[in-house]
Amino acid sequence: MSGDPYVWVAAILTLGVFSFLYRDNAFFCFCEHLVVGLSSGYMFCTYWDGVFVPELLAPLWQSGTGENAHLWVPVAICFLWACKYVEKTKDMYRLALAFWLAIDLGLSIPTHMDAGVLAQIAGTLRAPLHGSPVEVAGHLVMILGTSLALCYFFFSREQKGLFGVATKGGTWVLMIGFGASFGYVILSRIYLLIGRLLFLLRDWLGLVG
Amino acid sequence: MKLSVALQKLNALDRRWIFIGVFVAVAVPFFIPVSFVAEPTPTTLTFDRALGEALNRNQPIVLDVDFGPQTMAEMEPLLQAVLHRVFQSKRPVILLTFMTESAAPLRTVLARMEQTYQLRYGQDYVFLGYASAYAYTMHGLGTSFGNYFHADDRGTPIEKLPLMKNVHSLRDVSAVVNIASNSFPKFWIQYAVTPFDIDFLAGTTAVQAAEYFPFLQTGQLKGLLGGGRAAAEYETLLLRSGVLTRRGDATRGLGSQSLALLVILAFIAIGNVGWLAARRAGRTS
Repeated sequence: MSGDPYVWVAAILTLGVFSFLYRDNAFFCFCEHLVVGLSSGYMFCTYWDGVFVPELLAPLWQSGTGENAHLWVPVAICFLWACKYVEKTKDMYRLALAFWLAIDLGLSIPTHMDAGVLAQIAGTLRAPLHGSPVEVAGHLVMILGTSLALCYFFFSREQKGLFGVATKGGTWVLMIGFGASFGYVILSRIYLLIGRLLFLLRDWLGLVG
Repeated sequence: MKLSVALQKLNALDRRWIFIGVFVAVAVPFFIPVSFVAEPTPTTLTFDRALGEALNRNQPIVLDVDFGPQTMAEMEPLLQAVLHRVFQSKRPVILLTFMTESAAPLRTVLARMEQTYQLRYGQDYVFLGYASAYAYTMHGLGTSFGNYFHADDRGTPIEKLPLMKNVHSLRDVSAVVNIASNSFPKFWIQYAVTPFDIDFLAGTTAVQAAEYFPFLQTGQLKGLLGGGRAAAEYETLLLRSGVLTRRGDATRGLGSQSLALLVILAFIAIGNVGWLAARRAGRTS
C-alpha cells in the first residue's frame, strides 16, 4: 500500500467520484465541487502567470509609452468588453465583439475552405484506383460512400426512384459511420476506467505489479 | 411462458449490475498473468514510418501536448511511447501546449524522460509552456516563434536557448506532432499544416480517431494513433524494435479492454433479447 499522502488523497477522491455509480450522495457532490473549484483556480492562475502578466502587464509597466504602446489596444478592447456590465455603456461591447469576429472569421474562413473543404474534395477525387484489390475496393467504397452520403443531404428534390435508393444508401453510410464512432467512444471510456483501476490497484493498494 | 417473463424482466435490469459487470471485467485481468499482444495495424506502422522519416531529417520536431487529467489514462501511454521513440533517436524536441491543464502532467513526464535518457534541457529538448489563442499562435508559428513565445516554461528568454537558435518558424522543423484529446489536430491542419505545407502527425483519443481518418487519406495527416488500442500497438512495435524494454500501461490494459468489450456486447445482446420479448408479449396480449 502506498505511503504517499498525495496518492491517498487521489484514491479517496476517485472512490468518491465512483460512489455516484451507486447513487447520488454528499461525498460525490463534495468531489464534484472540488474539481470545479480547483480547475477554475488553476486556470485563472495559469492565465495570470503565463499570459496576463508576462504578455500584457509587464511589457506595459516597462515601456507603456514606448515600444510596447500598441498593447494599450488590447487593454482598450478589454474595457469595451467590460462595458457590457454598465447600463449606460452596455452597447459599447459590440465594438469589441465586432473586432473579435472580424479577426476570427478572417482567419478561419479561408483556411477552413482550403484545409477542410477543397483539400478533402481533391483527396476524394484523386483516390488512387490501383494497388492491391483490397486497397482499390477501399477507395471505391470511399468514393461511393461519400457520393451516397452527399445525396442524403440533397433536400431540394423529392427522395424517390433511383435518387431515393441513393439517399437510402446514404443513410446506411451515415449509420455505419455513427456506429464506428460509437464503438470508438466505448473503447475510449473503457481505457479511462482501466487507468483509474490500475491507479487504485497498483499505485494505491499495491495489489498488482 | 416463464422464460418470456424472465426475458422481459431483463428490460428492467438495474444499471448497477452493468457497472459491476464492467468493473469486474476490467479488474480481473490485472490479477491473471496472461499477456495480450496488440499487433500493429497498417495505420500504426504508417505513423512510425512517418515519424522515423521526420526524425531522420536532422531537424528538431515540435511536439504539442494537449490533454488534461480527465483523459490521461488514454493519452499518457501514447505520449510516453512517442517520447521514447523521439528521445531514443537523439533528435531535439520543442514541446508546447495550448491547454492550461496539460503543463503540469507534461512536466512530470519530461522529468522522468530527462532521467532515463540523460537529457540536457535547452539542447535536447525545450518546453515552451502554455500558449493562449491557439488559432492565431498555430498560424503565426508558420512565420515566427519569437512573436508568440517570448520565454520558455522556466522563464528563460527563447533567444537564450541553444536549441531555438536556428529555429525561427515551423519551416525550420521537420514535423509537428500533436498528442491531443480535443480538436487541436484539426486546427493545426487548418491553420498551419495546409497553409505552410508542414508534415503533421497526431495522436488522439479513440473517440476522435474516426474524425481524423479523412485527413490521413488526403495526406494532410502523415500518421495517426487513435487512443489506447493504438498506443498498445505502438508499444508492441517499439518493444520489437528495442526502443522500449518493457510493456507500457496501454499493453497492460489489453486484457481488461477485451473482457470489458465482451461483457458490454453481452449486455447489448441481453437488452435486445429483453426488448424483443417485451414486444412479442405486447403483440400477443
